[in-house]
Amino acid sequence: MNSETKLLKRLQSSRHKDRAFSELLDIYQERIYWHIRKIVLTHDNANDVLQNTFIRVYKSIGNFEGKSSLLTWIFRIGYNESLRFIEKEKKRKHQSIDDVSSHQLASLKQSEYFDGDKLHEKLLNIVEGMSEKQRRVFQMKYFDDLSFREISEVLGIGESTLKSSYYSAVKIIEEKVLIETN
Amino acid sequence: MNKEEFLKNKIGSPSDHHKEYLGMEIPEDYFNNSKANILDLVSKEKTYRYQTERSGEEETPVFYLRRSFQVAASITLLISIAVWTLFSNPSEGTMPEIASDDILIESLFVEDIDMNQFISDVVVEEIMVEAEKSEQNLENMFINSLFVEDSLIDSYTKKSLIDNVIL
Repeated sequence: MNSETKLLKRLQSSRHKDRAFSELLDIYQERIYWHIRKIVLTHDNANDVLQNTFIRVYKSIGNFEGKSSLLTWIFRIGYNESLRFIEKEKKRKHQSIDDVSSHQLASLKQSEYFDGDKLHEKLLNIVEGMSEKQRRVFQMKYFDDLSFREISEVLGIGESTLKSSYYSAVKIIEEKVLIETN
Repeated sequence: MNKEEFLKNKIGSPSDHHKEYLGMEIPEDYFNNSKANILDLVSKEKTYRYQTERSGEEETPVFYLRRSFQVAASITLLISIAVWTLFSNPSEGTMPEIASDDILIESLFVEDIDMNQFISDVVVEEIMVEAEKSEQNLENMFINSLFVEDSLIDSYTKKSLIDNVIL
C-alpha cells in the first residue's frame, strides 16, 4: 500500500480524518495554490478559491472512489472552482471571459504581490493571449509539473491532443519571447 | 532568464519557480496562515453540521427542474385546475338547484328534512311573485282601458280578463 493510498484511507475514516486532512494540506496546498493563481491571477482571488477548493475536498473525500490519483482529483476540484469563480466575476461585472482575464491581468500588474519586470509582463501577456486549451496545458505541464496523463485526467482531454497543444504553445513562447531577448 | 534555462530548468519550490518566471509573489508565511484558516473553516463547518443534525433540522433539498419539465408541469397544473373547476359542485351542501319551473315536480326532489326550508324559500316566494304580477296586470288593464274606444271596450275587457285569469 503506497503513501497516497494510506492517506486516502485515513481521510475516509471519521476517526483519523482531521489529522489526515492537515497532512493533505501540507502536501498539496502550495501546488494547488499556484495552479489556481495562474487562472485567477491575483493573490486575493487565489486565496478565496483555494479555501473553497479545500473545503470542497474535505466535504467530498468520502465519495472519492480512487479512480484517478488523489493529486489529479484535487487539481480538478481546484480547476473547476477557479472556472466557477471566473464565471461569477463575468456575471457580476457583465463582462466576457476575455474582459475578465484582461481585468485580472491589469489587477495583477498593480498588485503588491507582483514583482515582474518587462519580460515577465510580456510572458504573462503572451500566455494570456493563447487559446484556453493551449494556455491551460502549457501552465499545467511547465509550471505545475504534471505529466500529460495527469493533465488528461484533470481536463478530460486525450493525451495526444494535449501534447500537440503544449508543443504549439512552447513554439509560440520561444518565438515571441526568447528569440527577441537573445 | 535565457533560452537555455527557460522551459528546461526547474527552479526549487513551486513558489520560487513562479516568482522567477512569472513575477508572482505571496505574503510572508502565507501557506502556514492559509492552512490555519482552512482548518478553522472546516472546524466551523463541522460544528454547524453537528448542530443542524442535533436540532433535527435537515437541509431542505432544492430540485431545479429542466426547462422542458417546467413547461410540462405548468400545462399539467392548468389542465388539472380546468378539470377540477368543470366537475366541482359549488352548490354542494345547500338546497339542490332544480331547473324545472313546476313547483310540484321540484318538491319531489327535496328531502323531507329540507321541506320546510323549500316551502319558505320557493313556494312562498313563488306565490308572492305571482300575486304581485297579477296585481300589476290588473292595474295595467285599468290604465290601458282608458285609451281604448267605447266600441272596443267590451272585447278588450273580455280578452284582458281572460288572459289575466288564465295567467
